[in-house]
Formats: sequence, structure tokens, C-alpha cells
Amino acid sequence: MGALILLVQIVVSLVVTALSLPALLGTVPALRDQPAGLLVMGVVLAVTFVGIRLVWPRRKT
Amino acid sequence: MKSWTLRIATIVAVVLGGVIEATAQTGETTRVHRASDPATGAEVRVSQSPAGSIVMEIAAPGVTVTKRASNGTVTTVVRVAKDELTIEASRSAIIVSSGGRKVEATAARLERLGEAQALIARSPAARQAAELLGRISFGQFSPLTLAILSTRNMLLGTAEATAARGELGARIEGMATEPRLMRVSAQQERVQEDAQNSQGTGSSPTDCWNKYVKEALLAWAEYEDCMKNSGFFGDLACALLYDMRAIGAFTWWMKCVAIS
Repeated sequence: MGALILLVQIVVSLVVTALSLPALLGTVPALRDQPAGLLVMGVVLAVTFVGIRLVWPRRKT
Repeated sequence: MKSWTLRIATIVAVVLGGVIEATAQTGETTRVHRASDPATGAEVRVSQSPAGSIVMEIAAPGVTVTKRASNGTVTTVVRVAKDELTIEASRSAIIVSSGGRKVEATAARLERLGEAQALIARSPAARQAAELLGRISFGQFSPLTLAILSTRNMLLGTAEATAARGELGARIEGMATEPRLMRVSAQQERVQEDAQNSQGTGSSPTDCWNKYVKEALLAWAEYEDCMKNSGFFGDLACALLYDMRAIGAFTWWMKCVAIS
């Protein structure tokens, strides 16, 4: 169950990254260079994943 | 703990929503044309403002050339890293600024024209931009080619500019004397690109990134254009199309770099 939740969280993070990246590339031309773009992609992915992990509802023990 | 995470999540959602909404609303100019050159990865965008000024922007990795024509003045700005060159040409004067220096040549001070040309020739930004513009090609009969060649001609040094002027003149003469029907280069490029994309493999990570950026920018531009003229349900349709295109592009990029 835990592995499934982790997988869903990763997929949701990837979807959020995929949706926000075109907007970032469109508004900040400097990010169109590969190093800067990949760095921002990694940061967005990491921040989103951590955010999702934090707000994900947990079962009370 | 739970209330804090909820607050953080709400703040992030509000800020992200605000940023996306604001960026979608700010575009006042109308995009007239957009084209990409596969050889250099450069993207050319032509847009028109409500006031009538026309802007042509050529953006390639590391080099940006912006040409704005408004009220009888053509301003060309070349940016390469931190180096910037500005050439402002009107009926009454030519003003060149580069590296903290500014030269203004007018009808009364015509001798400064050589100085202005020398300032352009010394600019590393002008050299790199001219080199880039020389490699960009949208086909012999594209109006973009003429605009790019004339910009390149302006950025070249004296001796090279004379040769480039000849090349430009020959092209214009060729266009005038040889009218004929032909398949435009954009279609040919698209066919080649589609063939490469369908193959998927064989691209370097840089190629994958450049293609992804191109597709992501097109998706974002389409979303912005779509949002300008739509109601509530239209907005939903725009968002849905954007979501599909953005996720599709991202999935393609992951496949291209073989992460999936």
C-alpha cells in the first residue's frame, strides 16, 4: 500500500511539473537553456513532491 | 502540524494560480508569426502591438536579437550573455550603444557614422549574432529570410557587409525575376521534424531538450492565445488542451532521454 501511495505521489509530482514547466519557459526565457531549465525542472519536481508528501492525508494510528 | 501544512499548501496554490493567471492576462501584443529553425534551434516570433509597432524576436540558446519598428524608428537590440548592443535607426539619426559607449550620427554629424559602424564591428554580441543569423534559413522565398539577412548585414563589419549586401540584393532580384509555385520550407522542415520525432531515438539529450522547449513554448503560446478570446467554458477547453499538450510534451521528453 505504501509503495502504491509513493508511486501515485511521484506521478502527481510529474504531472504538476509537466504543467508548470511550459508556463515557466514561456515567461522566463533564460530557463530555455538546457542547464537552467533542467535545474528548475528538478527543483519544481522536488518541491512538488515534498509538498505532496506533507499534505497527503495520513491514517491515524 | 496539519494546519501548517494546509496553510502552506493553500499559499502555494494561491501564488501559483496568481502567477499563471497574471502571465496569461498580460499579453497585449498579437502574435503574427512564429517559426523555428531546426539547424540552429532558433525561434523567430513576430508580433504586433495595438499601437501598430511590429516586433521580430530571434531567440537562440545564448543569443537574442530583437527588432522593433515603431513610429518611423527601427530599434535592434542584440543580447549575448551580459553583452548588449543597441542600434536605433530613424530618419534623422542612427544611435549605437554598446559596452557603456554611445555614438550618435546625424545629418549634421555625418562623420560619426564611421565611428558608429566601428562600435558595431567591435561588439562581440554583434559578431555572434551575425554568425547565428548567417546560419538561420527559412528558405529563399520567405520574408523572414530577407528580414534576417538585412539585420545580419547591419551587424557585420564593413568588408563583410559589402559582400552580404550583394548576397541580399541577389536574393531580392531572384525573387522578383523567378516567380514560381513551390512547397514552402516550413512544410519541408515539419516533415523532417516529424520523421525524427517518430523515430524517437538517435537524439542527444540536448536535442531532446531543444525539441521539448519548442513544443512547451508552442503549448504555452497556444494557451495564451486561446485564453484571450474565450468565455468560461472556452477557458476550460483552453486549459484542457494545454494540459494534454504539456503532459504529452513532458512524456515525450522523458521517453526521449530514456528515463521512462
